[in-house]
Amino acid sequence: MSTAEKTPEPGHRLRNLRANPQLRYPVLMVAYLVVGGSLFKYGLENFADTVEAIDRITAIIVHHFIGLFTDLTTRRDAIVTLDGFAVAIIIECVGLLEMVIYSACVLAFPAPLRAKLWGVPLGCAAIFGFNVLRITTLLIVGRYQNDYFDFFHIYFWQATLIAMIVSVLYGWIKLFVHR
Amino acid sequence: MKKTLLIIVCFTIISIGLTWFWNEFARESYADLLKTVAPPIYKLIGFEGARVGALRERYINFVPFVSLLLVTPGLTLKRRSIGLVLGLFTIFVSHLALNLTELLQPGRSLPAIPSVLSDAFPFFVWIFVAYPVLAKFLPVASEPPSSNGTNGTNGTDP
Repeated sequence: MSTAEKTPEPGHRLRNLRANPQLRYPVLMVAYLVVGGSLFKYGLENFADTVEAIDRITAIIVHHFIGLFTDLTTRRDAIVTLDGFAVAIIIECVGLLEMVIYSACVLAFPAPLRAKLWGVPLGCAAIFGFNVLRITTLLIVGRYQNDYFDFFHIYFWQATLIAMIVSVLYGWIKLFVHR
Repeated sequence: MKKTLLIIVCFTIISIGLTWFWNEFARESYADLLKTVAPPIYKLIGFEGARVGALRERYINFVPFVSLLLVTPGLTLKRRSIGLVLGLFTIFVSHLALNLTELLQPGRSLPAIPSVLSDAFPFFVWIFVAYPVLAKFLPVASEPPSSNGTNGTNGTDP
């Protein structure tokens, strides 16, 4: 093997670097996150009615979900109560940021377009489902173990956000990419 | 299935433990550390007087990184240990950078994009550290580059 073959040209090296999934995936993800984050910000600033509707719909779903197990729940607009303990659902609570991050993960992943087209909506729906569970547990903790409410609300669920995304992403890869 | 369940259980236990530890003991100490370390660094890089948000809730993003790294199967002890130290340091640097983004949009809350990037940051760091294991999930990881220099995936990306 000659020396020329051993040392790749700068252009070739750059192509190899670009093709390296360890680098390519996070870089693409950042690009999609910037686009998704910008759209999210634009939506918050320009579609206040839609944002309120999303809060309200989430509250309705949480209310009905808890209603499957107990009658001690009420709802008014985006406020849900469980036996007197109330939570107000705001846009940060509905999992949109998690969906943006998850969608960026899926779009950046080297998978067929068809798998991505299935992955984004189904994954977002799964994240929404997780989020309904999250709000439900917060209501239960708030009602029955109020001292721990802040711990779960501010810290624990924030910390498990990435786990939620990784779990859904793993499920998508298993079901749609590595079939 | 049993293994996946075990990983989820371990992840949850580690996350609860670390979150409790952070909440009870580490948060205030970390705030003191930032208040001490950040101003001279900001001064050094030309951002003298930048506000140090010492008690931001987003600083807890080290928890998912540590939990993910500890439960990822198949990593060598060396990679796990070095990755943990370097990863935590990188996350610390990201906290310093996150504070500076406040200069872009002064106000009560941080700008949206840096916030999203900050939330996703532990995931990036984890990808780098756990790459030998995660590469198995990438369909192209084991395939050699094709003759035209691509890895065979470009056609599928949007």
